Amino acid sequence: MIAARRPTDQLVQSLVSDLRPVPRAAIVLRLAIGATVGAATSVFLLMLLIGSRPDLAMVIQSTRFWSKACYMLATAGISLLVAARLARPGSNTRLMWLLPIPLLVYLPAAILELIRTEPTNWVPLLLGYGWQLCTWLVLILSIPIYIGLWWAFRSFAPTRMEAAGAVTGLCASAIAGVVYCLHCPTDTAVFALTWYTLAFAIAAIVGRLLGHRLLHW
Amino acid sequence: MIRALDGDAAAYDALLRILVPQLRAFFGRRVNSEDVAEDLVQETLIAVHTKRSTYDRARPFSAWLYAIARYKMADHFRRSYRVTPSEDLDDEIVAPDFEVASLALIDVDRLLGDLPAKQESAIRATKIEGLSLAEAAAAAGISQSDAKMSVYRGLRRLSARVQGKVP
Repeated sequence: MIAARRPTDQLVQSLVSDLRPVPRAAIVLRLAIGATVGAATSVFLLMLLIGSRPDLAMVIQSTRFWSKACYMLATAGISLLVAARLARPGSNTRLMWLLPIPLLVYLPAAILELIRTEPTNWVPLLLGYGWQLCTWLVLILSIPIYIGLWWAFRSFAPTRMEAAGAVTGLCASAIAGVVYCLHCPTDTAVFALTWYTLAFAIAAIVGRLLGHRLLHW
Repeated sequence: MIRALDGDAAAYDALLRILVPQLRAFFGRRVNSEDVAEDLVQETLIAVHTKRSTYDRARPFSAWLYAIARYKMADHFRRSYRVTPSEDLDDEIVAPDFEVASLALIDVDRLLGDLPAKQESAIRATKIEGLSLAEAAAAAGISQSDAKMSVYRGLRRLSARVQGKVP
């Protein structure tokens, strides 16, 4: 027992000598850096692969474009907030109930669109332009952001690995959704709600599966 | 902890020194081996250090600390479960056989009860409770050779009884 105690004392001493001050907002700062670098990489990737939509300057004034972008922005913001919670061991995660709010707010817009459209036109409304690509591009664009968030989480201490994995996946895909708004030619709510949300769900599931392996500390 | 986060080494040193016995008690109650408990104490201390930026100054420190300790313990059990499958498996297969085990215990109790008190306590201490000969002798307040002799005589007598040579 005495032999076992000595290394612990030494350990305490070496930890004390290694002490550096930690900024108050360390977690927020690191998450922001990870997300920003990831998002910048993914914008670069988008421009390299397919470029922005030609009418971007025009649609930037339209409500539809912004309501779509706001759906992504709100999801990204809330999931970042929840991720910051999950980064700490033993803190409560009641904030997770906020996650579906953007979806619930956006849903009436989609229903309104469906009501205003002839049922025969529902399928083109749903498929828009480029539905085959939308989900997959969002998922591809989310990869650099996920890596950025993963880098941030390496210094964190999540204790609910599956939740942390799912929320980082969701967050990465939501930010990727914002990025993809620069290209996506379809602004209808039905389209966005379907294909972007599908990407969010896939990213959250993949993140949940990877949670244990990647976020372990 | 808050002063430690701002870089106060003396406060940090005092904090860690208080944590060591607390963590020892925490793990000591939850794992069997003292060495494992000490390893977990050290791992938790390292985690407290490297993850100190995740402590929220507005929240209670102990909740944060024990969340880390619990995580480290769960991690330990996950690892040891993976590493030592065969040895532990035998124990696990045997352990549910509670009925057989308790019947055997009753038998042992009855047999030991027939022995002289000194032999009985020497055998109980060394063979059932797993003490060393020296510890058993010290506990009974007799010399080591005396304890050894008691164990030997007692076992010889037991084996004779089990084989039916002595009524």
